[in-house]
Amino acid sequence: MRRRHRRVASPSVLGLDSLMDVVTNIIGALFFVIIYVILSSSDMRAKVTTVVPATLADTEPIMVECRNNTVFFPNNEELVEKIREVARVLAKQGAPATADIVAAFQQADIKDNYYQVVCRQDGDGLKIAIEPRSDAKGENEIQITKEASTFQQALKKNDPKKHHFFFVVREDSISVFYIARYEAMKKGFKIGYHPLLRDAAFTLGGESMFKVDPRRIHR
Amino acid sequence: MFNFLSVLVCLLGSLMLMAVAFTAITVQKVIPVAALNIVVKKVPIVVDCKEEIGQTLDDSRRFSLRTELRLLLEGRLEESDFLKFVKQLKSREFVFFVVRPSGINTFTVLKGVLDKYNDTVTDREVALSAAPEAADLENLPRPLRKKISFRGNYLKFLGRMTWEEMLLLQQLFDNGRDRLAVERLYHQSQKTSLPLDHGLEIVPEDWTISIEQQDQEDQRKDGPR
Repeated sequence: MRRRHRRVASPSVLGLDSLMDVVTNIIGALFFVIIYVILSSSDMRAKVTTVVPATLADTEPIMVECRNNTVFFPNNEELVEKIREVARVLAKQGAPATADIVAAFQQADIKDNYYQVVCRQDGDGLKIAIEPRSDAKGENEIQITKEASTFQQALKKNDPKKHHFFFVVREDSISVFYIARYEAMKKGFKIGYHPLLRDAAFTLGGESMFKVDPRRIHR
Repeated sequence: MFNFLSVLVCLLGSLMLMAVAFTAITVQKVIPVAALNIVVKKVPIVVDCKEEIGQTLDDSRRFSLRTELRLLLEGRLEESDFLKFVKQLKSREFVFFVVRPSGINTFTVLKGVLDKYNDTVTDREVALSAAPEAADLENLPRPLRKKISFRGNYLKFLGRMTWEEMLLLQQLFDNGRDRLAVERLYHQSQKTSLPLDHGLEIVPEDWTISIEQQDQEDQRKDGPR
């Protein structure tokens, strides 16, 4: 008599098949999600909601500069004062020659951590410029969010009713500017900003064709 | 079979981690800009400054850096395409500059065109009962002193007067008639010059810009543009 065999599939194998289906489907879907996220982040859509025109603030500006993807507080007034001191000494000598003036500035070597004063012969005249130093380093994106940082201390020390922050944003420092701006706005400060080329210097003497008004804020 | 399954599950886990990481990076990039959420009543007209071109969002108008700079340096502002474009904007519209790292020069020149126009092209004068004393003028801030001049008892103002400047000028005069004349000059300067108000946003080179108009009611009142 022929024995009848009933093929009974093992329950454990059946369970694994459907689980495999689910897992491979999820993996496929995740591949699509990752491809979509990568594509959309490469062509980022920024929501520009700062559509209020700039106005003049009634508070005192505090200058902040974003350069080399770091944030720092430049003190150009101190440099200008040192330039005046050199000029005063030169004025006492009567009418010094152009070469003597250039030499005097070279000897004085006026600079701080972020800027240096350069005096050059420019045609028949002189050009005195406060040039950005390439090795200037302030606080980076991570440091400015920490309580102990100079930036956070400045936010803590100043009063939003008396001061606002004006950012000079160099072309290489947009991401650190976004974070610094966000941090300052979180503390209730009004914000103004102006883009500037990486190596753009501040020149003294003569009228500048373009204006940067640190009282202008963007709400 | 079990080995294969464990490889699959590991792959699933790593992919999930990658998806979460990428999403987190994307969200982080958007937050600082999106956080500036403010309702406005004016309609922004975006001028995207990129490389040597400033263009409107719909690409219907393009302004060349070289042409505008040449006209600015030569003082032939009346020929500037950008100035013509700004002059034809409605009163409830304003220029909103979007500046890319490569477009800083373009932005500086286009803004320079607006500033120069307001500073040099528009001026108005009013008659006063008498010109103020020279000593009184010394007390005015230097930028303001540069904008005013006297021709007999006529006060001439260069450019667009701000409210603060009007108040400072009014303090020079004791009688109400002259103070009113200064106020008249303020209103005249508002009419004859371009609005200085402009929006500005600095964005990375590869970002696509879309303006989300939040004030729906105001947009409807203005009608389709």
